[in-house]
Amino acid sequence: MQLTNRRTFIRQAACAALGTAGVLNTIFDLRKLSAATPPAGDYKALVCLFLFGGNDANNAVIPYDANGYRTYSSARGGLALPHESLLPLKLQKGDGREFAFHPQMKEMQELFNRGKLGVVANVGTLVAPITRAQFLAGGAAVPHQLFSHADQAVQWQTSVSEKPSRTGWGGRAGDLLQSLNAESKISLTISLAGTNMFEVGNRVVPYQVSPQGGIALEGLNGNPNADVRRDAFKKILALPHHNLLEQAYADTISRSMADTELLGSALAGLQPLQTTFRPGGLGAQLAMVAKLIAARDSLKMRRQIFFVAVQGYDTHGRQLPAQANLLTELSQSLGSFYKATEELGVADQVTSFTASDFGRTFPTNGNGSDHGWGSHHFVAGGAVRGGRMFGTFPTLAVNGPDDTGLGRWIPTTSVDEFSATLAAWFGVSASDMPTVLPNIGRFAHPNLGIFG
Amino acid sequence: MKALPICRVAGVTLLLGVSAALAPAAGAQQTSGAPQAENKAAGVCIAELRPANSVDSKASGSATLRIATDERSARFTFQHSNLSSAVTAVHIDSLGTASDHSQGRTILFDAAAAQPQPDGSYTWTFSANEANSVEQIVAAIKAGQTILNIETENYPAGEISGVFRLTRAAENSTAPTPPPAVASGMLAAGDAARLVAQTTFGATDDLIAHVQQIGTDAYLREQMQMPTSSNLKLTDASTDLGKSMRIMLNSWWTLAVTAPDQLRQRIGFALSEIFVVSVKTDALNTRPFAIANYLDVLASDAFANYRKLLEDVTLNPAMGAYLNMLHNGKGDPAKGTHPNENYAREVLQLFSIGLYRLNLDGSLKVDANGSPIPAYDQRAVLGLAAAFTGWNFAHPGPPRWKGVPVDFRRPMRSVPEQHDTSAKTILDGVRLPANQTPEQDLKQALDTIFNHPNVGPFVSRQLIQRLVTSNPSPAYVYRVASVFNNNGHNVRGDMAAVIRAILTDYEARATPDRPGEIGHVREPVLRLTSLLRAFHATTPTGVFVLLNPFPLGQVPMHSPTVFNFFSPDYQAPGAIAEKGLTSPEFQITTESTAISSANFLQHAIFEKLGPPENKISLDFTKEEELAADPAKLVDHLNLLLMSNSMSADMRNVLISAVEKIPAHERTARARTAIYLIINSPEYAVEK
Repeated sequence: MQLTNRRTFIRQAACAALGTAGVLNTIFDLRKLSAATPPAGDYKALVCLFLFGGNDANNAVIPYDANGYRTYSSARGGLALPHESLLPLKLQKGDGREFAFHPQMKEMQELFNRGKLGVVANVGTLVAPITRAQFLAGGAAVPHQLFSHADQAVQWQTSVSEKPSRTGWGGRAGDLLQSLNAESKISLTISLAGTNMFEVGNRVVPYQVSPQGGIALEGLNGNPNADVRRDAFKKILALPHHNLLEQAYADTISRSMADTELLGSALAGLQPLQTTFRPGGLGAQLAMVAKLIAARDSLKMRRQIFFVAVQGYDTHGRQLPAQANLLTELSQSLGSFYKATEELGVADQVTSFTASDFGRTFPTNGNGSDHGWGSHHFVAGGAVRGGRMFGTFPTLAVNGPDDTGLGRWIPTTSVDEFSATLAAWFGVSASDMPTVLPNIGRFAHPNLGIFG
Repeated sequence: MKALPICRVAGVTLLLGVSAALAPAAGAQQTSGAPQAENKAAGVCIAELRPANSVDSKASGSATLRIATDERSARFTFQHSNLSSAVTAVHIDSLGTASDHSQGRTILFDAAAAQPQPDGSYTWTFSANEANSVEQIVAAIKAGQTILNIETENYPAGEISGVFRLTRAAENSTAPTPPPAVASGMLAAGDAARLVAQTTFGATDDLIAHVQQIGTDAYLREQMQMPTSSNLKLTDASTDLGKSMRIMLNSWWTLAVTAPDQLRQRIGFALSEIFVVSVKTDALNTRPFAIANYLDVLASDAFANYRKLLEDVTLNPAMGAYLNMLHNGKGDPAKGTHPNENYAREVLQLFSIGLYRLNLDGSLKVDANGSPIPAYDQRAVLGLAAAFTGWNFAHPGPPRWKGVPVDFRRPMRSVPEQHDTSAKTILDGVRLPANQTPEQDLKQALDTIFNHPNVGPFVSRQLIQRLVTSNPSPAYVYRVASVFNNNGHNVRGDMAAVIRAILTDYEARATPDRPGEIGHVREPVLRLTSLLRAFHATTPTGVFVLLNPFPLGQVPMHSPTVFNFFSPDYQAPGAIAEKGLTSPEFQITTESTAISSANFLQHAIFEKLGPPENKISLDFTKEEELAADPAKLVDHLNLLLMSNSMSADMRNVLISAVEKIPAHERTARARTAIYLIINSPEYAVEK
C-alpha cells in the first residue's frame, strides 16, 4: 500500500471538499502531522479588517505638498479636506512628494510615523494588468461586475476576479497551514463578523464567534425565565434518542455548546488586557481578536486568520461627517489593537490589513462619492516596514493616465499582489502560492516588499 | 466501527505522471468481461464525482466498487468526462470517522500501482498493513469513509472526487408484499396534524381540525384543486423596488406563510430543490422576476404530468440562464466550439434519471456480474446538448439570435438557424434524425428521457424524502414509482397520483415500524415557516420581510450550486453512515448553523423579525389561555408543532419547566414551552 508523506498529505487535505459546500464542521481536529513540529514560539496571525461599502481612500491618504494638495483640492470640490486639518506623514523613503492622513486618523498617523504601518497605494481587483488605453478600448479583461458591491467585496476576499470562486484566499492559505495547528480543536480561520468568503477553504471553514466569545444559544441567560429554559434544555438534550437522526442532531448541538465552552474557558484563564478598546463595532471585535491571540497557547494555535468588519462605507451622501466617524473608529480600534499586540509580546507576529469593496469616484456627486475601483489600503504590524508607501500613487486627474474616465482609478497594484505579499509573510511558500492565489503569475510583483 | 488508524510510515511521493492506462478516453467501460463472475457481492458502492469547491472545472464522473463475497477484494470502475487535463493519479483514500476526523487521510488503493483489466476495471485486493486490518478497510468502505480522488495536470490536488456509499443493489426488484391497510375512519388529531405538517409549510389548529373532519382523501383533493398563488404577481406588486432579490424572497415567505394552496406551494418548494435554479449566479442575481416566474411554473405544474413539468422547466428562461441552454448555439467546427453540455448533463443526472440504472424500488440495478450499469454515457450527453441548441429569449418578429432583449417571463423561443441539425444519438441508443427542427428534437429528447425506467424511482424517492422521510423502505419507493409508471389509467408521470401515493402510503400514514430510522430533519426554512404559521403570524402590510435570513443556513432559491443545499444521498458521518442511512438535511446542519438558525427562530418567538415598520407579530392568545395548566399547554403545542410525537420524558421536562415560571406570566410560559420544543432534537426530526 502506498503511504503519504507530508507534502502529499497536505495536497489531499486541500482537495478534501466532497464536492458540496457545508460538508465540513466548523471545528475540525485534523491532527495528522507530527513531523512538522515548528519551533516553540512560532506564531503568526493575519487580521483582515473589511470596510464594507467601499472606503473613499481619496480622503484617507491625501497629497500634502503644495502642488499635490492643489491638484487634490481643485478636483475634489466639496469633498476636499482643508490642508490645515490633515495629519502629515513622515515618509521613510520618499520621492519628494508629501502625504497626509485624514484628520481623524491620529492613531494610524502615529503608527505610520513609528514605522509600524504602511500604505498600499491604488490597489484593486484585476484580472490582469490593464492600462487606461486598453480599458477605454474595451475588450481587455476586467473584473467581473466591476463597481458592484457584492461582487467586488467577494473578489477582494477570493482574489479571483474573472469568475465566481467558492473559497477565499485566507481559507486556501489556511488549508495549507492548518497542520501547524494540529493539536487545536478550533478552526484556523475565525470570524468576528459572521459568514465571509475570505476564510472559507476547501478544508478550513471559519469558526464564528461574537465579540463576547463563542456563539451561544440565545434566550438561555440573563433572567430567571431564561435560567428555567437553560436547565430544561440541558435535560432535553440529555434524553435518550432512539431515532438516529435525533441523536445526530443532539450531538451536533452538544458539540457546538462544548466548543463554545472550550473557548470560554480558554478566555476565562487570561490575564485581563491593560489596553482598552473603544466599545462596540470594530473596537469590540478587535478586542476579542486580541483575547483569542492571548489564548493562542491554550487553544494550541500557531497560525490564525481573523476576519473583522464594519459596514457603512458606501458614502454616496453625507460623506464628510459619515466617513469622519468611520475613520475615527478604524484608527482608534487599530491603534488599540497594535498596542494590545505589544502588550502581549506578539507585535512582530501579527499583521493587520484593510480591505474594502472598491475605492470611490474622485469628483464628488455633490454630497458624497460613487463607486470606484482602485483604492489605498493599510497594513499594520511590527513586521511591516512601516512609514512607507508601497505601489504607485495614482495621478489624481479626471481623464489622467490612471483614470477610467470618471475619476475611478485603474488599480496599479492588484489585490493578488497585496494578498500574495501577506500570504508569503504568513508562511505560504512560493511553490504553494499559485494554490492560494491562482492568478498571481499574471502580475509583475508577487511580493511588494512590505515585510523586511 | 473504529477509526482507520493512520499509517505512519514515511511516505513516498505519489505517482505523478502516471501511465496512460489511467486515462481511458471516455471512461472505463462497464462490461461483462470479468471472468468467473460472481453473481453476488458483499456490497456495491457508488460515488458521484464532482469538482472540489475551489476547482473551476466542468468535469464530472462516477465510480463503483463491488466488494466480493469473501470481502477480500473489490472490483473498481470509474468514468469521467470533461476533465481539464490529463489524469495524473487516481486513488481511493480513507477519511477519518465522524467522531474523530483526526486521522486525516490515507491512500488505500492506488490505481497506478495496479494493473487494469482489459475492460478498464481494476481489482483491488485488500491488504492489511501495520495499522489497518482487512476487516477495518471493508468496514470503512461500507461506512462511507472512503473517497475516490482523480488528480490531473491542472489540478494536482484533485480535480474531482466523491465518497463511496454503500447502495442497495440487485438485478431486479420484485413486488413487495402489500402493507397493512391504513386504518379508515375519523383521523386521530395527531394523525391529522402529521398529514398537515407533511403537506404544508406548517400546521395550524384550524387546518388540523379541518383535516380531521373531512379526511385524508377529501383534504388532498381540496388542496390539489386550489388555484396557484402567484409569486410573480406578488413580486410585481412590490413597492420595494430598490431591494432587488429581496422582493422575490418577500413573496416567497409571504406565500409560504399565508397562501391557501399550501400543498401546491410545498410541492413547488420540493421541486425547486430537485429542478434547482439559484440566484447565486451572475445571470440571475439581479433578476427577482425571473425567479418568481420560475417558482410559478413549478407550483402550477405541481399536479400536472411530469412530462409537462420537464418541458416547462426546460424552456423556462431562468433555467435556461442558469444551466446555459439559453443561447446555446450550434457548434462551429471552424472555431472548435461545440454545444454547451451543461443542461444536457444535469437534466439527466439531477432532474430525471441519475447516474446508474435503478430498479423500481430505488435500488441500484446491477448486471449479471453484480456491477452497476451507467444510465447514460458521454455520447448521450453530447447528443442531447446538440438537441437542445437554438433557444433564445421570447421575442416578436422573425427569429433572431443577437440583440434580443431579455424576457424572463415567457418560455424561450427557438431560433432554427442556430439549431444543430445533425443526426444525434441520445439516451439508450435512441437516434434523432438529421434536419429536424428545434421543437422536434426537443420533443423527442424529452419523450425519451421521460420514458426512461429510472424516472419513476428517481423522482419518487426524492419527493418522499422532501415530504415524509429520508429513508423510505424499498417497498415504499416501489409502490410510489409504480404509480408514476401507471396511475391506474395507463397514464405515466401523473404527479397528482404520485403525490397522493406518497401521502396516503402506509409509511406516511401509519405508525412506523422502524422508529430508529424514520422521519427527516426539518429544513431550516420549514422550521421558520411552521413557527410563523402555528401562531398566526401577521405583519402590518401583509408582506413578510426577513431582513437577513442567512443565519438560518438556508434561504429559498439561494442554493450554492445546482446540486441543491444538500444531496439526497448525503450521509452524516457516524452512526447514520455506518447504518447506510441517508440524512440530506444534515449537510447544512453544522455546529455553526445549528446555533445560528436556532437563534433566528428565537427571534421569531420573541417577535423581533422584520423591519421596524413592518414587524412580524405572533398571536399567542390560545397558548396564554392554556398557560395556567402547563400540561394542557404542552399537549396543545405537542399537537400543533410535533403532531403528538413528543416522548413522555420530554413532556415531563417541559411541564416542570413551565411550572417554574410564575403563573401570571402567561406569555412567558407559552414562549418558554415553544422555545424548548423548537430547539429540541425530537422536534428537529419530523416523524
